[in-house]
Amino acid sequence: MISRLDLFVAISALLLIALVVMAGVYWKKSRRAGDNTWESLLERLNNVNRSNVARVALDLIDEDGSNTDAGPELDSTEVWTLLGGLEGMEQLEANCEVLIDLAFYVQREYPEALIIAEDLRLKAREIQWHVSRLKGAAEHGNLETSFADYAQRAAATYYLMTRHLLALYEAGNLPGYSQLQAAI
Amino acid sequence: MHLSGIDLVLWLAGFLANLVLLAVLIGKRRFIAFPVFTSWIALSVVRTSTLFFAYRMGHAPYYYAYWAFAFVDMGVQLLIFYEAAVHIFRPGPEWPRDVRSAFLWITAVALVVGIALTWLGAPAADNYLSRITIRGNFLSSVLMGELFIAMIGMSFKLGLPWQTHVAKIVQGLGAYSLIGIASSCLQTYFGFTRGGEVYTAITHARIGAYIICAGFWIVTLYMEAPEPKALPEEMHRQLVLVQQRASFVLGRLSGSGRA
Repeated sequence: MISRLDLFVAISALLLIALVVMAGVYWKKSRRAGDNTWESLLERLNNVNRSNVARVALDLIDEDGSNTDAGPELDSTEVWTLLGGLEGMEQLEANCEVLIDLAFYVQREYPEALIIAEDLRLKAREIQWHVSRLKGAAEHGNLETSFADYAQRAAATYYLMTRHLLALYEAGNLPGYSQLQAAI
Repeated sequence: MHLSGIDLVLWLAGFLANLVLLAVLIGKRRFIAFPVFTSWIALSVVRTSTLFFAYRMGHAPYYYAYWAFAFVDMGVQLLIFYEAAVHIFRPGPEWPRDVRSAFLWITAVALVVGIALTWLGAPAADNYLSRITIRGNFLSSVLMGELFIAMIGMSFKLGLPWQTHVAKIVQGLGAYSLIGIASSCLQTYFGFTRGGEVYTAITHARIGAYIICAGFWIVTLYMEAPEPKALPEEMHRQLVLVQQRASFVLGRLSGSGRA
């Protein structure tokens, strides 16, 4: 028979191990993130069909981010096809991870640029949220009805975010602008 | 009441480590960025000396002083957590929206887990005050351990870099809190059995671990952070423009979508 004290020690030990493992894993990951170079970050970017993303985004918003006067015209099937379905959205999501790392890189190397880096980080996380909603919808069999709404917003956010990132690198004359422009 | 040789050595070493650390925090002007952490170290200096004299006056004065400081210490540690969080998670003038909710969740979960585990532990002690002491130490360690490790994980997950000095403070506190969980768990298990010998040995190990942490802070807080690269004037102007545009776009986008 396990006593209350034994149970306490066992759970405390499990909690301690979990916390130590968490600390170790995140410490290792953050060290690795600190070693990132501009080139290594760009290598991680997936190829996304930029013209398709732009077409979906500009169906919802115009170049300055305002809603289009006519409202969205593409239907669900067209949005699905242009963005490459859930797989395409997952590629956008993976690119968002890289964009968060790029924002981290900018913030670490140029602390004065933290406001724009923070803005990029927030937008990348917003897309991740949209994609997670899509995954949830796919699990519950509601993907078809959810896809156009979430995916188009995610594409619009991604489009604006990449434009801002390029503006930042162009304005700062930072190395890697042409590489970034080709990648995203 | 009797203090052994090792008790005196550890108390003195802890006191001196805190004194040197306080001198570094003031001398290097780190207290401007970390006023709460500096206050905690100053409080530790005052606590060690007060408890030392209270101990010589008898059991009751020591006990009341111990508990008064323990409550203040716990409150100040929570404020250090907040101070570090401001440095890490609030790079701009406001708390980012993705940080706020994560932060509240983490605090709530840490509190629930900490209280539940503390309730589960039934210290092997023969009086009420001893049981309260052991439980109080355990709750404080678990709560701080969970919060500081969650902070490390959360900053990585959200992609927020750490400034050099705040990273060192949190690393030290995280490591010390983990040691605190292990030591207070063992103290709960063994309690004051065998005349409190095991309890005392664990306390010594914990003080030793704190002295190592204090040494780590003395060295790392003494050293200067790497010099940040300067942002060109033109880039700064452009950044402000892009930021204004991004804020406008975000506001519009959050209200847009398919009807």
